[in-house]
Amino acid sequence: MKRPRVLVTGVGVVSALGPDTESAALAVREGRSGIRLFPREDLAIPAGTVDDDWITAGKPRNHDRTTRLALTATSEAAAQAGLTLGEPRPRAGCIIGTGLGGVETSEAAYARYYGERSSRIHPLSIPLSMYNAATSAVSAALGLTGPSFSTVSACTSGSHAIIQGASWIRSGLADLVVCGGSDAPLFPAVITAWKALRVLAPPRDDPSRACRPFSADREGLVLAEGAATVVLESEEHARERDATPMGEILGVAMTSDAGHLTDPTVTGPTRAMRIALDDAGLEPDAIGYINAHGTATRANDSNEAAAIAEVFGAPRDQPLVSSTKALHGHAMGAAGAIELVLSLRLVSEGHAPAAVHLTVPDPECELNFARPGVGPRTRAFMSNSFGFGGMNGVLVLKSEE
Amino acid sequence: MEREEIAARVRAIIHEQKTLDDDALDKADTLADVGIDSLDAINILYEIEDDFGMTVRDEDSKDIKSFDDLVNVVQAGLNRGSAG
Repeated sequence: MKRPRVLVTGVGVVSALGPDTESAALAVREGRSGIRLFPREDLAIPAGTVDDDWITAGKPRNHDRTTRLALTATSEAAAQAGLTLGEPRPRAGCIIGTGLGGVETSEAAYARYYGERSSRIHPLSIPLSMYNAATSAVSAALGLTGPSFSTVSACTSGSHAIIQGASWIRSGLADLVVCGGSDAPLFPAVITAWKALRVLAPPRDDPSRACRPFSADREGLVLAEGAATVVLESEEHARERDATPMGEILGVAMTSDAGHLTDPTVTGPTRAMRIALDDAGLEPDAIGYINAHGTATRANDSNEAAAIAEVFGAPRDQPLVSSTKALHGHAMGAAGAIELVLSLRLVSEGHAPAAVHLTVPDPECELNFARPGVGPRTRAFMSNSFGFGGMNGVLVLKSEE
Repeated sequence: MEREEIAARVRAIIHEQKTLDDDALDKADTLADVGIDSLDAINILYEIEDDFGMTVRDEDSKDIKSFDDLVNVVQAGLNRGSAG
């Protein structure tokens, strides 16, 4: 049996770049960074913070910040896809990935218990902070009564969610899946734990340029929050309800390094990119743009550059490459979903997000970096995510014009 | 503390937690009738305990169906506290 084509019919993003896809896409086209100093003197790291005013769905009493971000992104995606509230949809599923879950809620509970020595913990601390809380809220908001769960695979959670959503549609488990990622890690204990890992970019004169993927002077990643969701549906389902496709998922791949907890391998990402190309039925030269994982850590960037060279050859043969984390930071389990949506949007307009903050060339990161005003050679693109734990997710998409 | 005062404070806490018409609690036979579900009820008990500085025992909380039941439980808890 021929497997169903998987179309993208709605997208939504809330990130450090703005409250929606439009504002974030504009910022990426202009190369404008959303990174600012975290507004706390003792934790003044460069961070990709979402303004409270941009979070327009959910209620603080009933939803952790991670869930409110997911609901906000989903309301945009659902509106674009023309999904309205109404009858339950038994053939529709939901997968919202998260790396860290409800940090706002769990930190508040631990502060009461350990900090204030109080046993009076808020009674909803467990259901608000659980890792599937965002999936639960999104499925309830849209009446998605088919399969649902959450993916938890560190920085690959959002990409894994979309890969799973596409796989459900291909396998016939669902006709429509609302999927993506959400994370809100910018709370004191989690920030402090990240600082202890010694991979965060330090505060300098200009925090907006703190994240410099693939640059020799890169100093680490910039922690961020945000969410992005996409509405995926089978071609048949989209046609039946006259939905307008923005793009198509052509290929997906997941591999595991099965190695070190935090140090990546070249082979894991290499295999993921090759399998995704095979799954899409495309040769490397059919790809116009790669949205790299590009965290701006020492380890990731040189490793990823080596993997891209393995698959695509020398820089002159490669697609255009950049990491939009330079502008919105590393939104953990939301990162892959945010980057996929921004790439889809820009490629559909004939752009490739430019590689910015690339101040000093690194001989270990020689890539065909995207430049302003240079469009991709095709409308097919690749989105990479490589998470702690050695969990890799790669998607190949094609945008509509 | 007078029952009226307890009832007024409990009423205010419920209205803080849940968007309700002013007379909704008086018209309804049960808290469920005004849309207070199990999670709302847990939240409301938590806020009541904070506000009154007392504890609602698990065995008492299970029997609360109406607004009057809730006020009775709070009143009993306060009396127990002052007696102990």
